Amino acid sequence: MQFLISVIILSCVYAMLAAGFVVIYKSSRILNFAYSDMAMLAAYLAVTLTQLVAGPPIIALSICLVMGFILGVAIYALLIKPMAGEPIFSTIILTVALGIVLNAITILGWGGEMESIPFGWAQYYSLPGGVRVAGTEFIIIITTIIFFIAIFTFYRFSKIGKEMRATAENALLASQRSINIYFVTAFAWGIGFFATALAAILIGGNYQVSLNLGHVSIKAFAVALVGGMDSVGGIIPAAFIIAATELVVSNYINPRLAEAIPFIIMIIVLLFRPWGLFGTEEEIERV
Amino acid sequence: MRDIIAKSAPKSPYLKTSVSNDMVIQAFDTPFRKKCMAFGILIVILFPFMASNYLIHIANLIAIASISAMALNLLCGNAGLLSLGHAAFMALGAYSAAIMGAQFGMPFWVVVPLSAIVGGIWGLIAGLPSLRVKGMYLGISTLGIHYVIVYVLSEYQFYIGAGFGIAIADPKIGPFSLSTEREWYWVLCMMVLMCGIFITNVLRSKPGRAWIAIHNRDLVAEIMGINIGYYKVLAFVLSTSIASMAGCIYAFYTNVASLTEYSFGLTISYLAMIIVGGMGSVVGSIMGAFLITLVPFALMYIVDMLGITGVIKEYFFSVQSGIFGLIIIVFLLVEPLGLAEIWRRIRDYFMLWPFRYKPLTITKR
Repeated sequence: MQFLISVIILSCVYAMLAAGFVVIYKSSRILNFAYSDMAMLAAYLAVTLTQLVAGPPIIALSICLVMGFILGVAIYALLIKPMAGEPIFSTIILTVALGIVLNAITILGWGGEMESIPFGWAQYYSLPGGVRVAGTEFIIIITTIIFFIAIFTFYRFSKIGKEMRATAENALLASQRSINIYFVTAFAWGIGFFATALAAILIGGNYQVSLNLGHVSIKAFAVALVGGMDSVGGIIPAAFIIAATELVVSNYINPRLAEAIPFIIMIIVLLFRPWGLFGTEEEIERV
Repeated sequence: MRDIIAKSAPKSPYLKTSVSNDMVIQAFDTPFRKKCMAFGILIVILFPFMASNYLIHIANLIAIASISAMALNLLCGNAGLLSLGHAAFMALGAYSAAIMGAQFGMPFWVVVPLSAIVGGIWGLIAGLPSLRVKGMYLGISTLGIHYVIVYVLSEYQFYIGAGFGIAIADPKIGPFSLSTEREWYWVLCMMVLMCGIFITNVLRSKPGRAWIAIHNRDLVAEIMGINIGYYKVLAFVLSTSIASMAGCIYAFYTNVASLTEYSFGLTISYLAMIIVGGMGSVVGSIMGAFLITLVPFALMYIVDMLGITGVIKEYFFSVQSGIFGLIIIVFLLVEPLGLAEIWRRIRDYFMLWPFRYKPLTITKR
């Protein structure tokens, strides 16, 4: 039972991380490799903001999320948009390079020390069945549920969300119907970085903020690919599969193998169902 | 037929009139280039007689990086297959050196080709997803391969109880032993030369043309009768075996195989080399390896000279990687074809100087 809880919590973390990734991919068809370093930067930013801003931590954390959004829009406008028309290879390498720069900024700014983000709700609760759940873990589960409901509602009902789906489906046609695709894509990048920052804060609150955080978030690639790069709904089962396998392997077989197992699953999925378990088949560039 | 037989070298790259002229190795085709090459070879030969051991050490690192960058450029620049697992393939070579050379005591000249075979086998595995996916999905799958290889190697390192790395003795070939930088310098120069000629020859023969065709438009390439799957996997196998060989040589050179060295960051600095140097150009790989390998040493020199201390000195490694990142971003935004393209422009300018003609338009790929 305790095991199930930890699987659920880990899959929530992975789902949040992968969400930021998929939202960006869905609208701009760019794999954002700057992703794990962005998560780290956001977590350290959150640590500093909670120390600077007085009052309950939620205010500081909201400021951090807004800053994540603005950073996402700025990165799209300054770096990604000028690359339109270049080969996709160049754009990916650009995001990789951006990741290194963000990583260097983080290390120079914070020195890579271990920190933690205070949520102010650290006590443990004993549930029936001998399960112990921490307050921070409740926060992770609740936030993930709220976030996913919000993102589905956003895609389904809001005007920008609908425009975003249209752009994702066919950018040329969308621009013909007077949708400002640059604005929509910039907004998607903002949401992507917002989700990343949120995931980073949750990880930082529950575990620890350290340079290892980037390593955790690299597994989001695996989650996003297993679920299907363009499918927000596919994230949740994929995250559950990856988290469960990882924890089973780590608990019962070999902790070092657990580091590699998400990628092994990913390669198997890529070989047999490259568009992911829930992605659209035509979406992917196939040979 | 006469055109094909004509052997006379053209005075300028613009004046190529026959197939045989076009097939000549570019570095030697015009008188100007011949003089440049002769000058370059002279510098390479005279260098160890004038430089200090430290400078020769840097030159050796550049040589090893050039071999590895050429391998990556073959895969990414020519065949157009994104690989993010390059560091792991080098690690395979290094650990082949550790296992076969240090544990089983095989001689250097046996271990190097064997490491190439080990790299080739893993390249075959890494190349399999390229039959199904392309573009960035392939990049991610090679990233996955990277983690798998790192896991296997860390398991091995744990199994034999080596904490940080496996020590490797200096290689011996018969009575000769390669230990000082100066001795290594000649061996490495020969290796770079051999690799360069090998890759240039592959690129101007059938596989090279097939890769260019696949890179430009794989659908058309398939219609033209090119076996796409075969050539993609071939590119992977060739590239990884050369990379593995480079890793093996590097491990012998530094006398240690350590997993911390072959992180994802190493892949990125190799990608930086081929982007800065120029995608799909053998000379570009060497130029890129030269520049990117020199950056940390130059930075170290500047930091020492200016007497900078504090945060920058303390986290020097991340300053360095941040500057790598900035270099890549600037090159991608401003000059996507790299140093090789800048070099080509300068050369064309002076080739036609002072009587300028309208330059031929070169289509960007």
